[in-house]
Amino acid sequence: MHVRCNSIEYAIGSSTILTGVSAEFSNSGVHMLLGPNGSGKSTLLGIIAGLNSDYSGNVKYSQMDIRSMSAQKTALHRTMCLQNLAAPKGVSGETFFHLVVGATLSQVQEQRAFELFDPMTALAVDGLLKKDCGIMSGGEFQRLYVAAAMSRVLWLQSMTARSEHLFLLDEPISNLDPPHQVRLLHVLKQFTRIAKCTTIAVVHDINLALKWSDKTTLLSKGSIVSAGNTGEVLSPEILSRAFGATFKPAAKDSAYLECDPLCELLNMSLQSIEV
Amino acid sequence: MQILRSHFSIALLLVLILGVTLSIQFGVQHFSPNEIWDALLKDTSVSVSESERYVITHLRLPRTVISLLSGAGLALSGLIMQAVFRNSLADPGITGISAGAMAAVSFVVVSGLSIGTYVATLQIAAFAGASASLLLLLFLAGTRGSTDSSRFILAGIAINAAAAAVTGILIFSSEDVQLRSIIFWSMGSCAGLGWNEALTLSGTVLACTAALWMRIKEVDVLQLGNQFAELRGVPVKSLTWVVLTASTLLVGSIVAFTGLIGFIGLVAPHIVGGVLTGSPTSKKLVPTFLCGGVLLVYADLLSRLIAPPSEVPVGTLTACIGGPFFLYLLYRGKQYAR
Repeated sequence: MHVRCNSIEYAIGSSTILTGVSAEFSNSGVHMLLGPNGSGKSTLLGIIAGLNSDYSGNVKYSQMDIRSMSAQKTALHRTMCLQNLAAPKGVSGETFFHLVVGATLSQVQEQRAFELFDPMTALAVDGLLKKDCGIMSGGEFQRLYVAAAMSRVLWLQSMTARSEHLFLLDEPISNLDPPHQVRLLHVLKQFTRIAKCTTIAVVHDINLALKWSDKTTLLSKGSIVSAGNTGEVLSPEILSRAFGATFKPAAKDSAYLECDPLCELLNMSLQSIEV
Repeated sequence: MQILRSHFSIALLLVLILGVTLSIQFGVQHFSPNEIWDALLKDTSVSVSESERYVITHLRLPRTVISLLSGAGLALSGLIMQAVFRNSLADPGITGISAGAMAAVSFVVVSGLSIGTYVATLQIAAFAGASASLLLLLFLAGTRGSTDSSRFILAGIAINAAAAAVTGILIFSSEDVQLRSIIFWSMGSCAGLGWNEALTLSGTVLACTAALWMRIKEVDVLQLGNQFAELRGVPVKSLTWVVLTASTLLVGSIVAFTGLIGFIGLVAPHIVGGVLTGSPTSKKLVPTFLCGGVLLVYADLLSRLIAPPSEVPVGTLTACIGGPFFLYLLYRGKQYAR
C-alpha cells in the first residue's frame, strides 16, 4: 500500500510537535523512522495509524484520506504494534494472540494464513501461548506482540484476498537483548518481503537501521531532515546535523557509526553544570 | 481441575439449582420438596394449607428470584468494571457506585419524593445516584485504572465518603421509622420483597445482561487499553458508555430493592478468574453471572438459618466473607507487584 502524508502540522497547546511533515511510504522493503528523543517519531506514527486526528494536513492510504475512513475500515487496512503495551495480568498468551489478531491461532492456521511464513515459529514464541502475559519477561511479551501483529496482517490478507496492508511498529526492539533485536529485524525484513506489506518501524539504533532497513526517514525537531535510501540518509554528516552531535565511523573503512561522546549537546550540559 | 474448567458453567448451574431449591425449602418454616411441588402446581392440596402456600409462592419464591438476580447482576457489573477500568479491585462497592445509589434511596425515604409508583421512584433515584457516582469516578480517575491504580482507589474512597456524608445528613434529619428503614437498607437484605419487585428486577437484569452480552467481545479488546482497542477498530468511547451505563443501571436497580450488598461484584469475578485462568472477559460472562447468583442465594439462605427466627442482614454476611477476601487480594497483589 502506498501511504502519503501531506504537510502534517501538529501541536499540543502552544508546543509544536510536527511542522510541515510530508512523506511517502511504499511496499518496497522496511521503512525506518529515526530521530532524536522528542523529534516526533511516535507522534507521526500515531497520526499515520489514525490514532490521532487533531492535526492539519492529511494522511492517505492509496488515495483514501484516513479521516474519511471509519475506525473499523482503518483497522482492516493497517496493523500497529504500540510502544510499551502493558502486559495484561491473568491473560494467557493464547488469549492475547486472539485479542491482537481477532481470531484464534487454529482459525488462522485453518485459513492457511501461515502457508508462506509462520511468524510464531520465526520469532520462537510458540512456547509462550500457555503462559500468563503478566509473568512473561518484557522481551518475551514484546516478541509475542510483534508475532501476533504479523499474524493479524497475514490473517487479514488471507481473509480479504488482498495483499495491501500497512504495518506500523513503535520501537519494536526496545525491550530485546542484542540477539533477539537482530532476529526480530531479520524476521521483519523477511516478513515484509513475503507479505508485500508497507512496513514502517520507529527505532533508535542507527547501526541496526543501517543494516536492516531499506528506506529511512530522519526526523529532527518535528520536521524531516532527510528521507530516502538508508545508506544515503544515514551518513555521518546528515546524522550529525539531525542529532546535534558528531557521528563518525568507529574505525577506518568501518560501516559501524558511533557518536562522539563529547558532542555539542553533552558539552553544553557539562558546561552548564560547571557554572 | 481441568474437568471443572471445561464444565464450569454446568457445575455452577447445578449448584445454583440446588441453592434455589434449598432457598425455597428453608427459613422460619421448613417445607419438603413434595409440599413445594404441591403448592406451586396443584390448585388444592392436602399437604399444604393456604397460608403455607402463600409463604411459598409470595414470599420464598420472589425472594429467591431477587437474591439470584441481584447476585448475578452485581457480579456482572463487577466483571465489566474490572475489565473497563483494567483494575482487578474495581467493584460497585469500592468505586462508590453502590453508595451513591444508597444515598439517593435514603433521600427518597426521607423526603417522601414520588415519581409514579414507589417502586419506580426508588429505581429512578437509585440509578441517578449510581450514575452521579460513576460520572464523578470517570471525572476523577478516567478509565485508566491500570496505569493509575492509586488514583482510582482514592477516587472510590472519596466518592464513598461523600455518599456516606449525604446519607449521614439524611439519617440525622429523618424520623424514627425512616431511620430504621435506612439502617436496614444500608445492611442489605432480600427480605420483604414481592413479585412486583422481582419482576421489575428481572426486566432490568435481563435487559442489561443482554446489552452487555452483545458488546462483550469488544470489552475483551478494551481490556488491553484504549489505544489498543482503537487500533482494532473498536469504538472505545461509545462502548465504554454503553457498558458502564448498563453496569450502573444494574447496580442502581439492585440497590433500590435490596440495599447495600457488598463484595459480590468483587468475589464472583475472582472465583471465576481463578478457575478459568487466562481466559478473556467474554468467556467469563456466563460463569460470573451464575457464580454471583450462587453466592447470594446461599448467603441469603444462610442469613435466614443462622439465628432463627430473626435474620442476619445478608449485606453483613457478604461483608464477613468479602472483607477478608479483599485483604487476601491486596496481599496477593503485593506479591505480584514488580
